[in-house]
Amino acid sequence: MLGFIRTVGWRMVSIVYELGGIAVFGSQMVYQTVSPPWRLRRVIDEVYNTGVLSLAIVLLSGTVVGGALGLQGYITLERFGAESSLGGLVSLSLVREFGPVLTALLVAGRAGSAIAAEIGAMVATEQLDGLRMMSVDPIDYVGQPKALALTFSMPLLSALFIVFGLGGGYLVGVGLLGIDGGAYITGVERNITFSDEVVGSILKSVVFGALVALISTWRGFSSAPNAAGVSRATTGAVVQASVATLMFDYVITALWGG
Amino acid sequence: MAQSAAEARIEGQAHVDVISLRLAFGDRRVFDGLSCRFAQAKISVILGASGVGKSTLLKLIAGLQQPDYGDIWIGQQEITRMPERQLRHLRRNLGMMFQGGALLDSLTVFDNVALALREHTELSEAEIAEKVHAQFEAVGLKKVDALLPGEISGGMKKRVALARAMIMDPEILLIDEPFSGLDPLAVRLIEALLVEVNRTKGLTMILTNHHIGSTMRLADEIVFLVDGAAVAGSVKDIKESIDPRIQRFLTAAGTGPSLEDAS
Amino acid sequence: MSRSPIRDLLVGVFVLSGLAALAYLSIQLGGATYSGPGGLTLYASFDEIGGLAPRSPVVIGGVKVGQVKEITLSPTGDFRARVTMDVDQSLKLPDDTSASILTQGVLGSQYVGLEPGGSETLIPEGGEIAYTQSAVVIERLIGRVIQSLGNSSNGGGDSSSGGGGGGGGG
Repeated sequence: MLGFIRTVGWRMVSIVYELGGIAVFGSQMVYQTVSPPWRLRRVIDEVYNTGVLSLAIVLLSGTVVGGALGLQGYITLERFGAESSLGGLVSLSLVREFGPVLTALLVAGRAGSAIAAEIGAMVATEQLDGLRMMSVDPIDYVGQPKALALTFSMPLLSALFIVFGLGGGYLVGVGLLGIDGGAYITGVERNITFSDEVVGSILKSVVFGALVALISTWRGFSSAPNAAGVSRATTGAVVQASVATLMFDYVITALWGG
Repeated sequence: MAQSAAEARIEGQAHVDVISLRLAFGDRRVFDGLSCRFAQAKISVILGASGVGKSTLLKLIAGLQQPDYGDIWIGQQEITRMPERQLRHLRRNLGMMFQGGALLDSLTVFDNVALALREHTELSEAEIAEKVHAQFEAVGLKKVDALLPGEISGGMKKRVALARAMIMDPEILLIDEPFSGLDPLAVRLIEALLVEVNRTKGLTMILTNHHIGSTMRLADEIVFLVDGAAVAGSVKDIKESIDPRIQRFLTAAGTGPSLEDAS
Repeated sequence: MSRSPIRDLLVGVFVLSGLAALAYLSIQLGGATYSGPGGLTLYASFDEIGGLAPRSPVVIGGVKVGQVKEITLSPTGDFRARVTMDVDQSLKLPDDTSASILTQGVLGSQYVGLEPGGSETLIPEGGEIAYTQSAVVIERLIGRVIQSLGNSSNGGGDSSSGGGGGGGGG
């Protein structure tokens, strides 16, 4: 019994310790981001790694999710004879929730894990120590471009997810289930307001981008310098980034939607 | 040690001074009151069995790790309590060669060596290219510019790492296991290279090594690590040492000429 | 240090298409730039505004001509809701125009529908729309139905004042 309490206590302390660590790391990262050099060349390379390489999975998933929403929405709305409102349902779901959240989860899995693995491998092979010995701060040289690129790519990917999702909904609703195309499109356009939905959606995806970026780089930098450590860092990055995204999603929805 | 450590430093004889170092990893005591001195412009070799803490000592000197207790002086500056910012400034004068080379995988060999120049100097690309190629020549590399670290052999990696460590003309060179993973011919070549660098540039060089043979050939001073402390002396002192631990180490490696070359 | 020009091209394509998607969402869907800058302020008072809120559209014949700016309690102390509307300044509305609060489809967002009258005098800037029809509140409607059922079973007619079900439900 005592052992159990001790374990719980130890867990709590180590969580606080972790949070402290990531807070310090986060502030260093922010400082590096706003101070020169900005390493544009490396940021662009990283936008390729995080954004372009995530396009395939984001666009595919967007279309499929849009289609699923279309199908599910139709089944539900048909009961009330309200099939013509499908456009509104699909667009609101995508813009408000599914776009930013699912994109963040997908990117965490694809790009976040890659970042953690790459940085972790650099720790294990002493490359980061090498940088330190050349008087270069690894957070500045390695971490900042990756984090900046991912945060920048996230809202773009989210928007593309939503657009392809709307297309997927159209294909299923209009193409498959025979809803009037005009009603779908009008439903889409009428129900989204810029200041409410779109701004909230962009805000969410930027916040999620920063979260995934911070957690992935942090996991990489703090990984143990061996193969097992890198593997732990990679899976840890995906899990923690995903959980953080979902938690912040709730908070933002609660604060924004009111 | 007739002089005090401070006097030796001021006179410029000791370049790196390690005083009463204590370090433990969990329950394991690595250093227990270790003190030693590394003279300026000399090649000093930290010798010892695997796992005794040679690389750790080098990392402590480099400031990459902090001891639990003790001082490390580089010139007139004490580094164990230095903030990272200042350390970064100090490191302009230090070059380090890591065991695996620690080259950045994502950059070409040229970019790896040029990195420090691009980050810390205002030189033009042409001037940088000149310096990098001069360095390549000094370490005996040809036509490697566009290759990636993954595409070159272990011996070449070490040369590139040496070039990188020297590109900013440091005063002190820290070298971790320069001969690991090399065949006997490559060992000799790297040995010759290190000796030449030391003679031509007068660098203070601190190496870790567990090869007896190359140590005996290279070293001006040997710092033998055992039981968490150091026994220092010239090559002759160590060879003729009556300390049983040192004798055991030398015998196990074999001090006869045929075995010496094989290690 | 440029890895390959193809990668740079792909980055450019990615960023441009992402920005285009954002623009589409903002402008086409969100109406970020509302065509027609409004400029004409009108007022209307209602007994009941239901779910009408600021930024709800103001519509003539199904075409959006402006939006609700503000909803306050009427300053004249008659406990009605005063709706401030900002509509396209090129509109020439007769002073017998009526304003009704209507519901859009099943999902139920509410809007103000204007029906122009035939008068020759126009409503000035800052003018008040005289004829208004309040929003339908389902509970009241049900209440009224129950009441009228009760009345007719008692053999009487019932009086129903205005404000009943014009144009509600989709």
